Amino acid sequence: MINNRRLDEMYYSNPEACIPQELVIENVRLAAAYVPYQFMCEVFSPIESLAAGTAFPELFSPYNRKDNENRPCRLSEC
Amino acid sequence: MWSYDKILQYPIKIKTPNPGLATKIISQYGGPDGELAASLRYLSQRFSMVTPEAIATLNDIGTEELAHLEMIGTMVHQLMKNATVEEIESSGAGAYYTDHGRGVYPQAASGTPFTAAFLQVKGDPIVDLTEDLAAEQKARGTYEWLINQTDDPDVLEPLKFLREREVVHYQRFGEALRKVQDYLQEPRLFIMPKPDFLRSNELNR
Repeated sequence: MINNRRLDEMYYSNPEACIPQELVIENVRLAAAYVPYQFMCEVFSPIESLAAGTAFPELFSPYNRKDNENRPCRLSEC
Repeated sequence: MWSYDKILQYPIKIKTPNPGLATKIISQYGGPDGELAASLRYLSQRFSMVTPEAIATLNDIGTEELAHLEMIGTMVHQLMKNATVEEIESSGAGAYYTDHGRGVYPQAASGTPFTAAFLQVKGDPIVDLTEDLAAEQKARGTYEWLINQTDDPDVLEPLKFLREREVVHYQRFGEALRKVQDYLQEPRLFIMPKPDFLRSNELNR
């Protein structure tokens, strides 16, 4: 939901833009897992793709060692 | 059938030996969430998969995991090969050295040897693809814990590359699962009109 809102802002303001993924999944059933389809838009150059590990900018999600973010929050912080 | 290219998927040139790190990275070679388990899982699940797209996804990703296995083996080899026995001992790789020297043996970081118990082939396409989604996440997590344990850019860059591949594979398995869900929900009631020669027989009777 949060992601969709962010994508709405990114793409719906520009109707010409290529949207690299399905935004609404229809006919969902209970007790099933769904990943939205990706659609082909922009791709990195070959050398950028090798450096990133993917040709797709929308799939590139680098890790930056936020190990501590996974610890449970303490009562005072929640 | 496979064809082999004598080139790594991503270049690996580690200048500083680090046998202690090698015995941790070995987990992505023969550990519970490693590349060998991933490759065997996907290439074996392929036989009972449904829809051409999902079969091809398993075949392609299972093949790519073999290329990742080769990368991990290269990393372990380069981290071990120029280390002295003293360095191996002081870095905590002495137990590994005792059993395998500077070789590359499929085992977990804990020392548990590779076993097919790390993977499953249930023969049900939804079950198998759901396991594959989990497997990609577990491999991503393992790469993150490995990245946390090194500052060497020669090691970090290939680890980051491999981690991103897990993210991409998750997306592809998710798309394969969608195809398979749609396929399994398709109605399979086919109504055949009764042929004319059967109808005329009925009238004659």
